[in-house]
Amino acid sequence: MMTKVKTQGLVTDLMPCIRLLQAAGHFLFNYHADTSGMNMLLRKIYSSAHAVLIVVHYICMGINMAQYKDEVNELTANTITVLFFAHSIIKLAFFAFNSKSFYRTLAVWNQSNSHPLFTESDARYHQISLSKMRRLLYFICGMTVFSVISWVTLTFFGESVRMIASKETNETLTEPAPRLPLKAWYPFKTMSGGGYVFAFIYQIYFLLFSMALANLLDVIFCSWLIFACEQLQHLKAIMKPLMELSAALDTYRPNTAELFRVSSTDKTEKVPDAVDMDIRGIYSTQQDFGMTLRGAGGKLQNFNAENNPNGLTAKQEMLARSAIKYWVERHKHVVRLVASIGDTYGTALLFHMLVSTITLTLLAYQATKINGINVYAFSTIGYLVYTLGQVFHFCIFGNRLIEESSSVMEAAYSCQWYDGSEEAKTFVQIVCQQCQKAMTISGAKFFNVSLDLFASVLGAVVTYFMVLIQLK
Amino acid sequence: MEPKTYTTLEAFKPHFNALARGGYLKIMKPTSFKKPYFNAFCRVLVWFFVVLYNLQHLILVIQVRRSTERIVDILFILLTTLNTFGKQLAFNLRVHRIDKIIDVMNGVYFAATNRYHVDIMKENALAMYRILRLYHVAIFTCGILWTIFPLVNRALGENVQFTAYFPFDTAESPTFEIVLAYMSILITLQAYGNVTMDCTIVAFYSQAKTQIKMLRYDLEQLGKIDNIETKFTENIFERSSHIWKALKDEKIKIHSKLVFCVEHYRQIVWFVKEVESIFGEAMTVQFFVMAWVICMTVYKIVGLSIYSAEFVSMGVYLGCMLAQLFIYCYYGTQLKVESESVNTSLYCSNWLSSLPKVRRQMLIMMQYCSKPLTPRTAYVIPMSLETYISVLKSSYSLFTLLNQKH
Repeated sequence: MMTKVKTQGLVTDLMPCIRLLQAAGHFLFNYHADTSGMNMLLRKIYSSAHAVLIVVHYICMGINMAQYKDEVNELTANTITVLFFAHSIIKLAFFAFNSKSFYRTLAVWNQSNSHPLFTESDARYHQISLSKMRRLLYFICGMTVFSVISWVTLTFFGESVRMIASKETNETLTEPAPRLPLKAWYPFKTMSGGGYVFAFIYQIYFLLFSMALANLLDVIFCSWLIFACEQLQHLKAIMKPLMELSAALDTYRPNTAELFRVSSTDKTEKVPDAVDMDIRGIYSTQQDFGMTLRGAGGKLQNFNAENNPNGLTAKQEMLARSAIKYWVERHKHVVRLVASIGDTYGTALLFHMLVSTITLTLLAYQATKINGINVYAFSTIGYLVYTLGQVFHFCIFGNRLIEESSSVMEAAYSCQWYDGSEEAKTFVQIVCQQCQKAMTISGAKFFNVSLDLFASVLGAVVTYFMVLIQLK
Repeated sequence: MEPKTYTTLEAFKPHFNALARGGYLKIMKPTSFKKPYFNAFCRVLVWFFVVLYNLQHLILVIQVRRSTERIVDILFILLTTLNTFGKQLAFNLRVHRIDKIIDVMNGVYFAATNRYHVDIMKENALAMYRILRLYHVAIFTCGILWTIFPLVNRALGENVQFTAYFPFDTAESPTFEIVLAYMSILITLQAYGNVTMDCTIVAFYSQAKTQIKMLRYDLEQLGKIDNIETKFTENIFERSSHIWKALKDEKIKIHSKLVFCVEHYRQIVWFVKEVESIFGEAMTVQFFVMAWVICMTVYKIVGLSIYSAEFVSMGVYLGCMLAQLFIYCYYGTQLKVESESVNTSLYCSNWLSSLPKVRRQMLIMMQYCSKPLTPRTAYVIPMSLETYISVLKSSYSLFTLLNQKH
């Protein structure tokens, strides 16, 4: 259909999600192979069409809410629905205005360093993160489709009526309303016939696409977090071999597997020539070139013992030092990635939490009016579970990031740092100091995304519910 | 092109100008307001009228102490103006300590040393200026509203009672207008002073945040090899010896740069603690007044319908209070977040290429900087967005509860 676009880094990993986002109508115009003017214009028209359709339907729902604002029950129910779909509109607009910072975050991992000793571990954890991201995507897509199906199914149960309070007799009368998934105002008649079918199909489209819009953006955010966590796992896993390798430099250690592996995986036994600068086989960063000469290793290091007791070749020594450098550069890269994620998505999380808090307050009120197993109960519980599920979705991944980043210190401590060189020990010290403060994602500095946030939200809902039940 | 040296105090010029013009403070170093006698005269006048205004309210409170309704109405105004008075006292009695802070800001550590520093200082100055202007506009709008409401009420035939004690009758026509003008002018003046003093205190905290940003930039540049200039030669040995020599010089420079950063951070910590202690009591009073006002406003709003003029004026007043609290909490959080990132910046410097000796020095700095700078009110309440949210949550809960019982 279209030629494969050349991508790297995070974009390659997240390509299915990006394609789904483009299909759902987000204003994501990068990462296409074919960027001719005609095709771009078509894509822009496609996204704008979706945006217009969804906003128009949202306004229709708003008009319906304004029409029935005097009825308390109707007003509450309509407000909940309107707030529920506000997420989609907000996320659509947020992405449109912030697409540059999304592209920047997606490009953060385009150039990553590598080291011959650790490529296998890197690849393994990368694979794990890829499979986790896929699984998350399938799960969320499945849940979205399931929600739409159950919503539409629920429409066919129960009476499709509106509760109107009669002013004279002060009791609630029922007024017939069209049997549609959502209550909205249409300029044409929707009780039956062509208008009804059209409105039904429009609403199914609206349900599917607006839920997809909101959920897919959350999936991108969580996928980023999964990636960052797996990178941290990789770093924790290579800490031990790293320390063993650097221990080999200053102290006598009996044959560790690493030492032998170092000498046997070398395809070229080329010791860096004084004149020959071609050592690209070992190093991938320019700065390492400063380390090659004189054989003593690091740029500012002037170890008095030029010879190390194990008789490693100069290249092996450089390999060991460059391993530490790889670790630190990789960790700094992860810190940059997490900072970029926080800058990009923080405000969206803030808006999400704001809208969700108000929605959950109203839902707690609605829940006090449940009087049996009926359509009302199912729909209220459905809204509750969905809203709490959305909050839980990003809280759990935020929490995992916090845990992973603070457990790096544990990994640093549990390797045999006491056998390491001075360099290795100060490296462990600085890493431990840095990892004491966990890496968190904050919603524009108002709150930290963690399971504490979810617990407080859940606690608040339950408290409101209990208080309102008592006051009834 | 030689860039003009940008002084740290540029950010404070509009604030100190406004304070001097309003007669709230003497002419400080950063101002461009150059009329000392006029300023002295203004200050005396302002002191006199502010004290008079507060006394009048106090007398009326004592007079009508039987009627709770009236007391609440008067206390709305009186507590806010007492709050302003408290801040005015803090500024004027501790002006020597403020001078000392300004001297520190003019000192070596707080000065901009490169392009990036100048850029972020300019950004900061612009933000502070905009906030000040925004609040001034809001104040003058509120002042006009507060003048119009009694006039409108009087035209509608309602009995307008002033919240201050006057020894003469104020219902008659010319007296009413004169007294109304007096009250409006004084309350607008006090609101102007209040808002400018708030913005000045916030500007101090924002300056601390900017300084930390500058420090972070300096730390990230520690030991970066790109800054080293080497002569290009074909001969690899010569080139490497150039690098080696440059690196040795750099080694000495790293140490002195690190020392500068350590001292810079210590100065910033001192600065923040000093600002906190100068304005400590005033901020405590402010916080409790705000809490009281929010509770009372919520209590009064519950019974009113949405379209009455009283609801609107209560709403606007509540909005002003919340906006005042917001800038403190926002900039407090900014400062805290920046200070938490100092360690990350040190981590992102090129510490890998330094000797363990230097690394240990950096480590000691990292330990010290791991404790974030949190400005506090009344020693226990941190000025952060979490505080703000809990204030909002509590007022909303109070409102819901009172609404249910109604």
